[in-house]
Amino acid sequence: MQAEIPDELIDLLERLSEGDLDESGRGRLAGMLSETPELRTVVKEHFLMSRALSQLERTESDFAEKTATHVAKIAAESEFGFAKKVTGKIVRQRVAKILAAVAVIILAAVPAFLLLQPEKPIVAILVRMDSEQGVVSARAVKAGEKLEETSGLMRLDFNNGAVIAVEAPAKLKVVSAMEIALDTGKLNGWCPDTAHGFKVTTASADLTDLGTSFGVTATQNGKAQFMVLDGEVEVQKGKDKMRLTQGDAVKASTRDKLSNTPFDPSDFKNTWPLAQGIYATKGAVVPANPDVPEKVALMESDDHVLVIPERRAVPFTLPLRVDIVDTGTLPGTIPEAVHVIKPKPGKHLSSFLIRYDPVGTFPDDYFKKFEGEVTFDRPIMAIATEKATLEGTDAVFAMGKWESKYRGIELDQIKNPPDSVTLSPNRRTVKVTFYAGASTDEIRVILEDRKQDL
Amino acid sequence: MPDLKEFTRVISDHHSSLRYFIQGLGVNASWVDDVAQDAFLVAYRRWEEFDEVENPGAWLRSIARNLVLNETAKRHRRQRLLDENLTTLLLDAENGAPAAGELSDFTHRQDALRQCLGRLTQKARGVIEARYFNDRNSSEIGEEFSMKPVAVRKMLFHARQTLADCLRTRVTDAG
Repeated sequence: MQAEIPDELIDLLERLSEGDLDESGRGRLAGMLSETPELRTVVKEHFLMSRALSQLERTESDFAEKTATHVAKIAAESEFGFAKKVTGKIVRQRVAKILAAVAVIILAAVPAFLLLQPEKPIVAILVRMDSEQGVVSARAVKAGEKLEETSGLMRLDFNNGAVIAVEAPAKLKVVSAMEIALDTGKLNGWCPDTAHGFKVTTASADLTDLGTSFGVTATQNGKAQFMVLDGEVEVQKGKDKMRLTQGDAVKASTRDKLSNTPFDPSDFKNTWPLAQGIYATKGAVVPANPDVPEKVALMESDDHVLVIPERRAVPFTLPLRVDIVDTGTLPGTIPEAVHVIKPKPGKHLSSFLIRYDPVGTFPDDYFKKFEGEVTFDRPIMAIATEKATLEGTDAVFAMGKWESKYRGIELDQIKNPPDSVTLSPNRRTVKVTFYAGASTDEIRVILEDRKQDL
Repeated sequence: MPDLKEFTRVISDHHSSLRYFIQGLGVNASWVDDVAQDAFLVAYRRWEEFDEVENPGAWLRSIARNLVLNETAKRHRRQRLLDENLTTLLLDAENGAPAAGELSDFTHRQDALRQCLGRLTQKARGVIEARYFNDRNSSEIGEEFSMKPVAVRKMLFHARQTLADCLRTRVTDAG
């Protein structure tokens, strides 16, 4: 049976063929093919059909004769030509030609050698981020590959759905699709049902995921810390085992037993958002600080609009009422209307709140402009911007109870221009302009999970 | 070394399917002939193996496959590939032989393909012709047909899929 072909794959594939796909898109395309191997056959067939169509109106010239003559000439130059000319040449030239001949032999021999070697499976896609967390490159990673970075952030998207975000300096080995050996550095992991049992090993102790979001740090002197932000893990050192649930943390060293340590997830300020699916933020919009979900849901800031992860991998079984389904700007190119999205059995959703909520309270006439944007790792399906649609989707996505007289954004304000929300053409980035202070502003961004996010 | 006539005959028998095979691995269309030539050069140098080879097509594909594999490791030559990750994944899925029902060489089906093209809607045929006969990109095609580029790309994809299904039906009927 042919695999379901997502519209996103179609667009990425066509843009790649036109030479118009950036690194982020390339990484996304590779990720989709990695997670759904059946799609590779689809892609291959489209390459073949593209060739057939481009050749249809072209007359095939004498390729065989030309190639045979060309190949015979090159082969003769490289081998027989060398034998004729070598006499009388200076030693330097002779060495250079010998090296060239050896290179030719190796070039011919290496493929045969490689053919006999069992290739290690591709288990993940490695996405590297620059200092502003923009995607700079993406490539496949095979089991057994070692990674060593001196600076920056990177994310490993495993085929089984596990997501590991790493902050350099870091040294680690991707042992298999279900295991990372962390030598030094810090990482955040998130594992869906399909990756339960995922392991992170260190010099002093090992962590096994039991359905969770966790953080691990490892230092050169063999010390490690493990903490759970959501769900449960098991940490083991020899026969010594501890089960940790959210808000727990333990430390380990090569000499001492496992012991509890205060839960302080601030070390994961950069990796946690990346593991959650936040690729980049700009301007006044920043990720919430890492913590357990109930605390994250209530975070406040006087100076920033926070991006707050909510529920992840929620089965899409109920209709959703939302305000934005198309790309563009509200108010502006997007008309004010409520849309009902029908459920799609088998699909899963995740959501993020983008919210300004000050720590204190301000006078009724205090308003400040906040402008910024956030880019996610997967396409945005819809956005709820009004009190009614936010409350209507709370039951599905909210991590905590949230009661406020003012919810959503204001499209018609007396003292200020309207708040606005823009969904980018590639559906990955949301830009917001909030006039807030006396009031809170918030929207809920709903993303359709990829198969690997489940 | 092979006799030039014999070597030309082998190329003649296999170059078309080999070039389709190479493009199917995500090699940039403008570099497909170059990689095919490299494959024939390696074959020429390893000609002593040829007599032992039961399936020359599979032998040539294995050579080409490994040349493409080498390309994935050469970052400075990545322009030969549409994307090295994509090619790595396609290589990973490639077992050397076309799967049952898989279209692998269209050279002898050009008439059938023309007939299948005639079955597309006028708009879809126009978009296909603009892309493949006139080398236009989706933005240029969109301007001509008053479509958004994203809609053009979607139409291209689905039109190719319709053509592949049409060809498959014809192959089945002929068989």
